Amino acid sequence: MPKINNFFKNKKKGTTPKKTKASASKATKQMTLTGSSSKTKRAPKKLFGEDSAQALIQFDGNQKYGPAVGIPRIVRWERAKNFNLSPPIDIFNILKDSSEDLQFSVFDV
Amino acid sequence: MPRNKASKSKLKGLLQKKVKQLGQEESSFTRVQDDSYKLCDDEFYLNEPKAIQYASTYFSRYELLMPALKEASVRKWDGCKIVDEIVSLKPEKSEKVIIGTLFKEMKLKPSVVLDMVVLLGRESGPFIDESDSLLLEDISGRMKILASDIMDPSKFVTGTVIALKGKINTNGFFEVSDYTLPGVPPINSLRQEETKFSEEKTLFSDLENRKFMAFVSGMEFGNITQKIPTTMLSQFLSGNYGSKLERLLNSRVARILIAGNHIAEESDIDEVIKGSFRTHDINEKVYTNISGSIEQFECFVKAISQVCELDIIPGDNDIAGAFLPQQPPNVALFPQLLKNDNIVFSTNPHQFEINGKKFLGTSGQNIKDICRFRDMKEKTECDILCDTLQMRHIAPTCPDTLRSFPFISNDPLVIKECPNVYFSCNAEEFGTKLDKEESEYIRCVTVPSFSKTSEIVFLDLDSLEVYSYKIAVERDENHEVNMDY
Repeated sequence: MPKINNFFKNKKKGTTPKKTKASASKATKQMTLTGSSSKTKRAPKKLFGEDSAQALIQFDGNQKYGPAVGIPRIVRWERAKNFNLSPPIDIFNILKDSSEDLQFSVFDV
Repeated sequence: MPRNKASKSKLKGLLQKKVKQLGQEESSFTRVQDDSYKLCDDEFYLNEPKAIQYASTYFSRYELLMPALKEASVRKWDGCKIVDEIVSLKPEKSEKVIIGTLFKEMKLKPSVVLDMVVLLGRESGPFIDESDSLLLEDISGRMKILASDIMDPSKFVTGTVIALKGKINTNGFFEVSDYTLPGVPPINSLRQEETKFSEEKTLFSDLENRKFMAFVSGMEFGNITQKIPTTMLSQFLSGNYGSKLERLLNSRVARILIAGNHIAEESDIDEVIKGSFRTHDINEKVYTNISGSIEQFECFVKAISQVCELDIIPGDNDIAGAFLPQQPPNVALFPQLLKNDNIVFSTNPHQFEINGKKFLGTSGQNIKDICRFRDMKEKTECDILCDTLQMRHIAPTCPDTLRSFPFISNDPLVIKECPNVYFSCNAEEFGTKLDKEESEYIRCVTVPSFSKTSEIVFLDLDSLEVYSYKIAVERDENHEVNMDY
């Protein structure tokens, strides 16, 4: 589960962990198994920082917005909005323009 | 007998005169027209991508019904605090209110694993046992509920969203002092037609000014014992059979609803599903029987659709998908009915509007499933139907014991708006109840299965009165039939 590993990764204070090409291609391979993304390799993210990724992972784990498995994050956000659970608007801003591989939650392998 | 030509022609003249006289008395009736029909089935069509797990459906159900429960518990137990998370409860002196979904642990509940072991079909009896226990679940976790007189496990089913008032005891069980259900759904205040509820009218009184809707369910074509009753029904509904009054009644029927179990379940179908060494022979026999039944049903529908508008709802035994909400049957099954404007093939559950009144109902699988997991002593199917309206959910046992699709952001089986007529078909017997909520009348009806009782139901569209009418070879004296020709 490459995404979960990213969440629990040990990191030195002050430095950001590098996403190696090997783990990136592994991630895309896993994602094509779930049928969620195209075969392009994931380029190192410059636009979205580590904080956004952390925020998305926090959104996935928050029980208040319901189950996260097997549901695209943006659908889950809209569902939370429809049920008046006030999900943070920042998540929506990150998700609406992001690529396919950010659409599924951390729990989806 | 006169033999000469003159008297013969005189007799003929007399006969013709008599026939003409009779013809003038037995005037044909034109069917009442009603253009106010509106189909409201959108929610039950499968519009959104489906989840893989059912957790989202339960979550949506909880979120949709929780606001109503909060309101209901504030109304009922003013001053009692509503707890947000069940797991945060601690033993305290004061009582608290918890809101969540019920889950009933049942020893006798049929499970796929046990089915494989036993290799039999299904047992249909009530699966209740002394050892059944209830749990309340919300987003944070589960809480065991102590069984008591107020909270008797045999009176509840899994999947009900409920608010409980009580406190947690030292053993970790929640002792309930009172409970409340969400209550009847909100009534759309934009109703245009008011129900003109009048005193008791019998079925045949004042027929000229009334409009009816007829309900038929469970005809079970393909069953040999059903051949004569269904022919009679077809003739009756088309107005070819019956006394003058009955034909007048049928001409006042604006629409007919034909609900589930159109074809009888084949006796050998289990063998086909499981497979046997005589596969080819059994398959051929079963499939020929099924296609024969479908053809008979198709002829029936074709005959009636020429004189009346129809709604057809699939049922448990029909070829329309096993998961709720059942999608309309594929029109390719009925090639002769392809371009027929009078027929509406609809989903199960079915929602529509006619004469300004909202109708909502199912083919009966939801009620039958609740009856299997609940104590049915002194309770009829009509009581269960009214209970589901109080629970605001058509089928709370979905997806636990009744199969349904998993949904992501909605639970379409939650009743969002109160119907004027709430019906369920294929019941054991006819039952009805009239409730009044905020100056609106709500009629709950269980339509009996035609194959068992030979009864159909007429509903007056203005006053919401319901009548069950028996169509059988023998008539008993209780029915008001005026045989004047």
